[in-house]
This record gives sequence, structure tokens and C-alpha cells, in this order.
Amino acid sequence: MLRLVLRCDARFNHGGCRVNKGPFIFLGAFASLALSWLGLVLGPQLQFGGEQPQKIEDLNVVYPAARNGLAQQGAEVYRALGCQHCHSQQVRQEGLEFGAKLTAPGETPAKLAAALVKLGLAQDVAGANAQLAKLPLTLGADVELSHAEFLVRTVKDADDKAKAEITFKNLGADLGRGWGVRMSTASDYLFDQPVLAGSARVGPDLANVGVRAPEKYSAPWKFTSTNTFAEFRAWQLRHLAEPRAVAPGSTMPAYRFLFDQRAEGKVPKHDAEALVAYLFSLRQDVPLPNAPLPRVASVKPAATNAPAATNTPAK
Amino acid sequence: MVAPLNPTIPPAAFSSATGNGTEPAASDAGGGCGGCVARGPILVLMGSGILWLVAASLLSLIASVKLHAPDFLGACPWFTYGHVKPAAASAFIFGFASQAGLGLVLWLICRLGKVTLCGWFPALTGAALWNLGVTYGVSKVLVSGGSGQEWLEFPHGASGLMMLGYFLIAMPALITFRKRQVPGLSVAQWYLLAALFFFPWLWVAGNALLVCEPVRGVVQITTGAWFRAGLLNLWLTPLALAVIYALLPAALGRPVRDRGLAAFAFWTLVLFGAWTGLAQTAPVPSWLVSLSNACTVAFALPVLAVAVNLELMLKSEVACEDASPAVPFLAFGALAFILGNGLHIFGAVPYVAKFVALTHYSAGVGALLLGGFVMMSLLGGLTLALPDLFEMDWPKPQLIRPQFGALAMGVALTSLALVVAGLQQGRALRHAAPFLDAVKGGQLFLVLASLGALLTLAGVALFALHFGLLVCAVCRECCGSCCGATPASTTEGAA
Repeated sequence: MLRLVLRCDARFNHGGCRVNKGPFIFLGAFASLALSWLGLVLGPQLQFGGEQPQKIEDLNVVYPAARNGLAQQGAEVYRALGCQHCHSQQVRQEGLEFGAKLTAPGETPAKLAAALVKLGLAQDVAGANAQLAKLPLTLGADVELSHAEFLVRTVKDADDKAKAEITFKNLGADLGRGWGVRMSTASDYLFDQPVLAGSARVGPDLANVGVRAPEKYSAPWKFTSTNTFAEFRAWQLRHLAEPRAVAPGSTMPAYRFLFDQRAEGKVPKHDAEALVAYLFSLRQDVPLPNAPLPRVASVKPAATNAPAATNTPAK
Repeated sequence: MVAPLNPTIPPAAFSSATGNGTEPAASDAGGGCGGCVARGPILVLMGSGILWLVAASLLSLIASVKLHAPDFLGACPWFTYGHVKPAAASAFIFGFASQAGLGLVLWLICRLGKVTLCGWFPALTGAALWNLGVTYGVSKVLVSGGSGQEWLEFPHGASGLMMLGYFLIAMPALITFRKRQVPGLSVAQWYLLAALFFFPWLWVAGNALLVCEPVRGVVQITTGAWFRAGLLNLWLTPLALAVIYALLPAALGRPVRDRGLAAFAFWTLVLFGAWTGLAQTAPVPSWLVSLSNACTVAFALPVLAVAVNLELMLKSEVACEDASPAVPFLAFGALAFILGNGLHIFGAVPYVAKFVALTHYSAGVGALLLGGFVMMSLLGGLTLALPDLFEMDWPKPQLIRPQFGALAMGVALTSLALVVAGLQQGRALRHAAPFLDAVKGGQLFLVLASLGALLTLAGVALFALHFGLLVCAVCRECCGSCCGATPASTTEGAA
């Protein structure tokens, strides 16, 4: 059989040129791999390899901040246990929904009422005045950005002292599930080493696990800003030791080897404590220029694990 | 037009027909350095590759079972899912696929070029270093976890040993290639050359930028995607395609039909191969995702070209029916290449990606590409190469069909079950239903995937057993010098 290959080969090479194509193949292969390397390694490195933490003016924090020591050790435990093989840390967003609202009337309510009638928000001036009495007034919801801009412009034209603004809502299945409030961006991973964004969701996403309500972990998951570390720690340790006692039907293995069996019961080892501290530090809820948050969500970072301005970022 | 065959070329003892009276392939051109010795490194690579395949299949079975029975082997931290899964993948890719692939590369270079392997001693040392590196790496992953970078889980020491081993194997391979007696290059040889060139770049760049001196932030995500796509499409795929292109035409008795098309497939594969790995959901700037997506779709070009070429080959005039037992393996591999990449491209379509990203779907596609395409093609190559190297037929040829049956069913079941589980999971996660409901809905498919993994393990064990029988038969029959060249590690396969 091999004879056939050789013969077929010989036929081509005797019929055509005898150029040695070896160097060609090497050069071509070099060029194409170099191209992909430039695109996927060097390009991103030049674009955001030197990215630094940024000051978020609204919250007066520098984001992201380096983790504290115990949480950093927990990141190592997380990696060593291979948690990233089942849990992703990336929130997807599928767009924005725009709207417009009027928050304060200006100096000429009559013109404003006329504008509202013109926009079809009220039958007549009397109806418009009734609406203006109970602000904030929704001018439009679930509209295109251009239409939201038009609504705000119309109101401003009528009364330039009136306060009207464009509102938006982040959309996506992950956000609906309560796994986050906005999409994950490159800035969120600045101090992760290694970056454990994960590639599978055998278990739930953990990008914001530090700010989710522990008692509601088995879904529907709710996003909250009221976690206290004690509550979070108790839930997580119990879940690590006996996942199915807390979340029936869960397929997470019981990490009993993270606990010492003593007379008084299961005592978490240092690794378990570090892991919980790391999980508590997982949160992507700071509004960023390229991933804004609606103002109504006003999630102020809690004092316990806030990416505070005083934290010195690691080098 | 047909060039007369050089009468000194030994007839290849590939088919189940007797190989009696065949001259040792290696001795006809080499003369001085005995053929038996030159075959040593090739056999060590192939033999230890088979042993690693058994280990990898066992580890993947454990990992697969743990997905639906989480407390299976739960007390032992070594066998926690986060250790077993990367260990299984590493053992498969570096223990089996790369190693058996390198063995087949050496064998094909010698066979297609009609030369003896030059520098068997460095190659043998290289094989030993490679195995040492993989053993150290896999044990480290099992004992204390990997580096956290997928497919780059090994510690520096292990990667360094493997790199050194690789150079010691690749240098003799290239020197042997330079000394080939057959002018020009066949399609298989393009793939071999390119693969030999790609691996060190990928391995050094991947380890340097992700493990030794890691880049910052999400550059790690793009670099990791580049590395994994490169390792799959520019290392494992060319190895397996080389085996298919070299052996399937020969085994079917039909030549590669369209060399122009084959060249097109080669160059498009090389051009787009490393771009296809960035997940649609990755938290990186969208220009990168779009670029990667476009290249993933463009990757349909080489896949279609290979498909058309193989189809042309299968359509051509009827050939002898006493085809080699390796044909089903190679044909299954080719089919899995087309299907697996088809599913990968389908999953990259933005609308579909919303559903299937971050689900079991990509694991299913991976099982089809690694298990179906790479493993089956390489095992087909080994089915032909081992009897040729030992100059002895498989002791029990009737075992080859059940081997193929178990492997084919196992791989097909695992991939299909995981793909369906991924689609189900993706659908469930689009809705606000509790996450645990989505988990419960996929349990049945994960059990089926484990069943597939069990079948695969059975097929692999049977292959290893058969290999052991072959080694035993060779040892029994062979003269002292031959036995001396039979590597110690391969005899362990008999156990």
C-alpha cells in the first residue's frame, strides 16, 4: 500500500518541478503563526497589557484594587482545587435598553405640558399638568437610543431648565439570573493571576458571588448589597462541606478534606477560610466607562471588601 | 509517467497479508546503523503513548463519572474533579497524542523518505525526557493541582524537560528528513514539517507568557485561546492529518485525488488555525472576538477542502476490498475531523453562541475532535505502524474490529451526549429557571457520556492488551538483538 503512495508521489514529482518546497513550507508556516501571534498575543498586549487601575469619580474608589492577603491565598486555593473547571467568572450582557425620564420641571410648566401633549404622553394640557405633578415621569421605555435622545431634546427645547435624562437598563440572561449587574470587562481581571475566567458552567458563575444573597443561592439568585461576611462565611463553609445539604441536587463535590474532624464538629482548615475570603472578594459591581450601571441600582461597595481608594494596587 | 519502483524498497507489511520475507524497513538505506536500534525510539514513543492513553482514558472516565456522581472517590483530594480533569487532558494530549504522533512522524519520515532514522540515541533520550516530563507534570496536577491555564497545567520543570526532549526528537527527525531518498514532498510531509515547526513555538510562547512570566489581565485569555487553538489545529491536527493523508490513500489503494485542493486545505489550515479559539463570551474587546469568529468561520475552508478531497478519493474507482484493518480508524478520524469542526463553527455563530457558550457543548466538540479525530487517526496509524516496525503481524487480528467498535461507539456516545447536554443546558440557562433545574435536566446525558467514556476505556484497554500480546510474541520469537531493542516500557504494556 505504501508503494502506492510512493508511486503517486513519484508521478507528481517527475511530472512537475523538482523544487524543494521544504523552505517554502517553513516560511509560510512561520508567517501565518506569526500573524496569529501578532493578532492574539501582541495586539492585546499593546492595547491593554499596560492597563492601570482607574479612579471611579462617582464612588471615589480606584478600581480594581488588589486583594487582601487572605483572599489572595484563597485565589491560590481556588486555582489548586481547579474550581475554574466548573465555575466561570464572566458575566455576559446582551445589550442595553434605553428610556428617558423627566425628574424635575423647569420654569415654564405650560410649555412643558404642551411638549408632553405633543409627544403623545397626555391627552390634553390638563392631563399633562396632572402628570407633571407626580415626578419622576417616564417619557419612554424600551426605545432606541436615538428616540430617547429625541425625547430628552424635545423636553429641553420646551423648557431648558427642566431636568430630563436618558435612562438605560443592562440586559442579558446572566443579569436576569442575578449573576451580575453589568458585563465583565478587561479591567475586572487586572489583578487576577492566573486569570480564572473559566470556560464552563457546570456550576453557577461566581463573578459576583461576594455580593449575592447567600440564603438565595439555589436560585432565583438575587443581587444584593447587604451581605455580611459572617453570614456569607457560614453559608459557604457549610456548602463546601456538604453541598447537597444546602443546595439539594447540586453536583458539586463535598470538599471534606478542607475540614478537620474534631470533637466539636467540622473545623475549617486555613485553606477553607482563605477560599471563602477569596469568594467574598469576587464582585464586579463598580460602574465603568465601558460598562456603566444604571443609577437606580446604586450599589455602594460594602466596607468589608470594598475596592477602596486607599488600597495600594499590587505591582 | 509512472516512475518505476525502486526494487530496493521493501514492500510494506501493512495489510493483514503475511509480512514474511520482508526486509527490515530501516536497514535497506541505513546500512551501517542497524535497523533494529533505529526503531528503538519510535517504539518507545509509540509504546509509552499507548500506556498514557490507558491512563488518560481512565482519568477521563473518573472525571466524567464525577459530573453526575460528585462523591465518587470524593474523600481523596487527588481525585477531586479539578485535578482529574486537567490531568486527563494533559495525559491525553502530551502523554498519548503528542508522543504517539511523534513516533508516527519519525516512522513516516523514514518510510516516505526511504531512509533509516539518523541519531537514534538522541531520539531515545528525548523520548525518555518527554516521558519524565509528562509523568512529573501529570503527578503534580493530580497531587496539588495545575497552573490554572488550560492545557498548560504543568509546572516549569515538566515543560522544560518536555521541550528538551522534543528538540532531541525533532532534530534527528529533521536530519533524517533532509537525507530522504525520495525527492519532493508529499501532502503528508507538508503536515509533518509544519507540525514539527509549530509545536516548539506554541509550547515556548505559551509557557513563557502564561506560566513563567505571565502577561497581565485578560491578555492571558487571548494568549490562552491562541495557544489552545494552535495546539489543536497546528499540532495535533497536522499530526493526525499527516497520518490520514499518508495511510488512507495507501490503505484504500487510491491516491490523493487533487493535490491543488490538498495544498489549499493545508495553507488555509495553517493560516486560520490559531485564530479559532477565542470564545464568543470572552470579556475582551469585541474586535478580538469578531476577528476570531471570522477566522473560525473561515476555518470551514480547510475542513471542506479536506472533506472534498477525501470524498473524491472514496468515490474513485473501486479498489481491492481486502482493505487494511486500519481503514475504519482512519475513516472515522476523517469523519470526526469534519463533524467536529463543523460543530465548532456552528457553535461560533453569534446566535448559537448565546446558547452554547460556557456549556457542555464545547466539551462535546472537544471529545469529538480529540477522541474521535486525533485519537482514532493516530490509533489507525499505530495499527499499521506497529506490525511494520516489529515485522510481525498483530497476533490476534480478529481483536481489531471489537477495538474499533468499542472506541467508535464510546467516542460517538460521549460527544453526542455532551453536545446534547450542552444544548439542553444552554436552553435552560436562557430562561430564568433555577440553575439547579438546568443541572438536573442534564444528568441523563452526563450518565450517557460516562457510558461512552467506559466504552472508550474498554477499547483502549483492548488495544493496549493487543499491543502487549504483540510485544510478547516479538520477544518470544525474536533473536537477542531484537529483544535488546525492545524498550522496557513497552513490555509493561503486556501486564
